[in-house]
Amino acid sequence: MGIVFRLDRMMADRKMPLNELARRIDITDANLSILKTGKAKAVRIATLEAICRELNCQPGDLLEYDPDKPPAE
Amino acid sequence: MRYFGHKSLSSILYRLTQAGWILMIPGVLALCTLLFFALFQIDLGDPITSGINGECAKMTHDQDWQEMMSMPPLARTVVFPYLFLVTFLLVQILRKSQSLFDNFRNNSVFRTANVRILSNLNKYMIALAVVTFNPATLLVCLILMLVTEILKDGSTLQDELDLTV
Repeated sequence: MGIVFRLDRMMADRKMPLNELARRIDITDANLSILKTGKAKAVRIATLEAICRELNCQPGDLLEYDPDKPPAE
Repeated sequence: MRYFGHKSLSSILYRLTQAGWILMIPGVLALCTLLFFALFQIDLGDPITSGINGECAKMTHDQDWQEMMSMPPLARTVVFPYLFLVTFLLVQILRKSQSLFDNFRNNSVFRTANVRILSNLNKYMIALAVVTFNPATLLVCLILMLVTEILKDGSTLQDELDLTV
């Protein structure tokens, strides 16, 4: 069971490059890459809010619950 | 006072461990040489070995020394493996301390590498406490075990913080 972050899919839908989104939400490319690859252990509400604002989506569009994925440690 | 980073307590301790390296190896070699001449009462006729033997002859009040000198010469050599073991443990403790202080002075504190270093350092210190029959060092080791666990928890929190976006 685990949460899957669907940022990569959302960015592809909106045709938003990683560095552009990182610049707009004021985080580093490396941190956004951590988020995109699902390595993040936690997401700040402020970051989520900024991503939703820039990608014009809801938090539910970015997060998905997958029962088959191993839980985060 | 700053504890971590450059120009801090950690950097001073790092320099001290560096100085420890410079002093320790010649010190141990000199001690081994002195012990060799003293234990086997070798007098080469020069002022140094004569002085060593003269000083040793005056140590009549030291019971341990007298007991050691009453042993056969071959049995006296047991002090050398003991000395090498203590030196080995001290070198390891110095080496681990130096890398730990090096990480601290580079502002790398709550890291898994430091937990590993501190854990190994603790093992060597326990061994030293047992070998030298020193209960005070053993007590320090117990405190160090607690500090290691705190550092371990801290490094887990730091990992989570680093991966919080």
